[in-house]
Amino acid sequence: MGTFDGLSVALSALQAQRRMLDVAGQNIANVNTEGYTRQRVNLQAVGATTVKGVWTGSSNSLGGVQAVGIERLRDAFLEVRGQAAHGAQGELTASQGVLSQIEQVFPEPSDSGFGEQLSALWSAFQDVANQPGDIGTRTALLQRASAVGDWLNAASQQLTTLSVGAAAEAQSGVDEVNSLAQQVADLNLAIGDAQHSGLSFNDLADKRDVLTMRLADLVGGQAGIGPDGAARVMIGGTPLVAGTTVRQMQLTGGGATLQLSWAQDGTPVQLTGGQIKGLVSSVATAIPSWSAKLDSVASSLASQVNALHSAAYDLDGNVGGPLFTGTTAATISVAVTDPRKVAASSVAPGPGGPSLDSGAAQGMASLGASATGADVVYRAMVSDLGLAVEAVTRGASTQQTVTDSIDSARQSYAGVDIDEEMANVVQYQRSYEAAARVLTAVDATLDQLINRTGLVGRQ
Amino acid sequence: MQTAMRVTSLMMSGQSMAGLEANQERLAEIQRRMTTGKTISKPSDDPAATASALRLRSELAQNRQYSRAIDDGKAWINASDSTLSSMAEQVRRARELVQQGINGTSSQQSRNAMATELEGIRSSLVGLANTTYLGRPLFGGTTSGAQAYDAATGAYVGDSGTVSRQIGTTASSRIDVTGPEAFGPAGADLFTALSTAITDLRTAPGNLKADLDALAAASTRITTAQTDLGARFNRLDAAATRIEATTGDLTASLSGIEDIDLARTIYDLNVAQLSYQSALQATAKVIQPSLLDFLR
Repeated sequence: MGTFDGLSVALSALQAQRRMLDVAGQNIANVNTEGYTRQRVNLQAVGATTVKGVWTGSSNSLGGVQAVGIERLRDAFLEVRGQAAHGAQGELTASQGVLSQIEQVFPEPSDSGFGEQLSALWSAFQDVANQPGDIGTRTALLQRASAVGDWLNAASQQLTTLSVGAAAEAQSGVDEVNSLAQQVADLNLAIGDAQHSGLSFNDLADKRDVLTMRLADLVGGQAGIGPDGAARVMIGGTPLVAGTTVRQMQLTGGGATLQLSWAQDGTPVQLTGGQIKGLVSSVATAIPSWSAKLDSVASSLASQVNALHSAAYDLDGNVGGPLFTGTTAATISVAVTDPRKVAASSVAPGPGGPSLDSGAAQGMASLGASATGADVVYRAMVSDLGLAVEAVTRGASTQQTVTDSIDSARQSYAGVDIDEEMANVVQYQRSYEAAARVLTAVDATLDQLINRTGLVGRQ
Repeated sequence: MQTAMRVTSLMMSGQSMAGLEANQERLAEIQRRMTTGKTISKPSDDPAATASALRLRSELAQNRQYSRAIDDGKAWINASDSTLSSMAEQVRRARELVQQGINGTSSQQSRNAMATELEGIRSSLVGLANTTYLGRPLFGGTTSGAQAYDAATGAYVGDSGTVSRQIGTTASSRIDVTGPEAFGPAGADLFTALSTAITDLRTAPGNLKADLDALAAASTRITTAQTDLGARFNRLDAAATRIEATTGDLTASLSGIEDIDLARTIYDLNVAQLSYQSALQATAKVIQPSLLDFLR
């Protein structure tokens, strides 16, 4: 053992405690930083070498302590569960968002909803049945019919706008995914370099974890860290990022044919979750299906009214044509503009002129009570829509609870606890004081030896 | 082996925020209900109740439809009934005149005067038979013309169509009587009988007995028509009463589905407010202290 070994042991202790204080300070500084993982200094006692020298003898060497590295405290298993939960969450939230917007097109029950508009139309037919010869009631009927047609046109237009909006949101999501994937690949490269040079890459890894979690939100990507330290992000069995290689995605088609595919070969991306999955399936499946239901309201209205109207006679005794043209919600409109041409009579004109019979108008007024009429189709649609929104909202809320609890567990493991850090700071401070005291003791010992020993005979 | 869950600062604040947000959301929903007075604002609030509410609203609208048709029908029947009443009055006067003509004491001169009066009565009766309601002749069936009887000849120019009103989902009631029903078939109707009587008063008093019988038959027909109208009016009245009762029931059901229970909502509001305040207080107490407060 060397004479001054004590000094170097104390010095190594002072340095190690300072290092630990610094890391505790870093942890406290980042207590509110998103994605920050708490760090810990790994210490190792420096003792004798494990391989004994043959000719040299330093069996009782004490080298003090050294910091061998700074570790990120993160649970890889929790991260994978977090990514799965975020993927499911993203999909449900996006679907719920679009479906809620579809629901807003049908604000029922209300005094101004489509149900009331239909009732007003049947009522107008009833008025014509009561006063078949009155031009005023016929004009009112045509206005009611136009209002019903306009409402259907507007609702169809709103669904189209929703579809376009959701597709645009999906497109910006895809752009973000492509950019994020590139950033992950860049970080893989930087981390690899840092690893080779023996530098700390904890902060780069934190940044990469934030990006991969965002990828999970968007496309349900599952990230794993390979033995070389590079992250690999998989989507439905195909790598989005592998090492420094990135595969770009693209959206093709529109409306019911909207599809997410790999830019490289055009094969569809097998999505397992994520906001983009929710948006793409809303645009390609959900909106077209509600649109078709709205069309069936329009077509049942048009076909039932037209069947009666075409068989009836107008105020001048002529056979009435169809009252509505178009059989979809987007195209339905009122074909008759002249109130005299509303066909209310089911009796052909006799020798005395046209009949003021109102059987046909009465028949059309009674369509409101029909078991297969537009009212029933519309009611069933609104009820189905309500059930669908309720179900997806419940699903999203349940998934939110799951995601929150996993995020909480991740945060519990990787997050900074100020109490803990403060306790550590106190401990490190005391350890530093103790090491300083050791230094003083060694110094005093050496002082005794060097300055006060062997003074016999000195004057 | 992990002994206890680490509770980190971000976790604490995150959970507190999530709790406060959930409380606020609940409070906002109850406030929406309080201010709108409605429990359902969109179909997903309660899909089954939304479907019921839409059905009830549509049934109520149908009932309003039937009510309007009944009111209109009653007005039509009233107009017909009062017209027939004044016609019956005049037919009675015509019968008196013919009866006087039959009496042997009356001179040809006085019979001529009676004939003139009878002509006046006839034209008045034709005018009454052409009474219109909202532009339509009451006794003209479904004719689109303005008259039921030709004013000059007294011939029926209406048709045999009937006017009905829908008074229930499947029930409808006829509200009119056509001219031939009220005044006799063409060629043997009231106005022909009067014309014959006028001619007979002037030229063939011997036929007046038969004319009196014809007028008596016409009088009976008018009374029968009035009885029919009365029965139809009663039917409409009964339907109106039934619809009124149904409307009351439907409105009550709709209100039960759509409207809030005020006492319950106020209670919910207080509970939500209390729980929000408790959450705020707990957050203030929990977030604040840390080891820092105790280190000197």
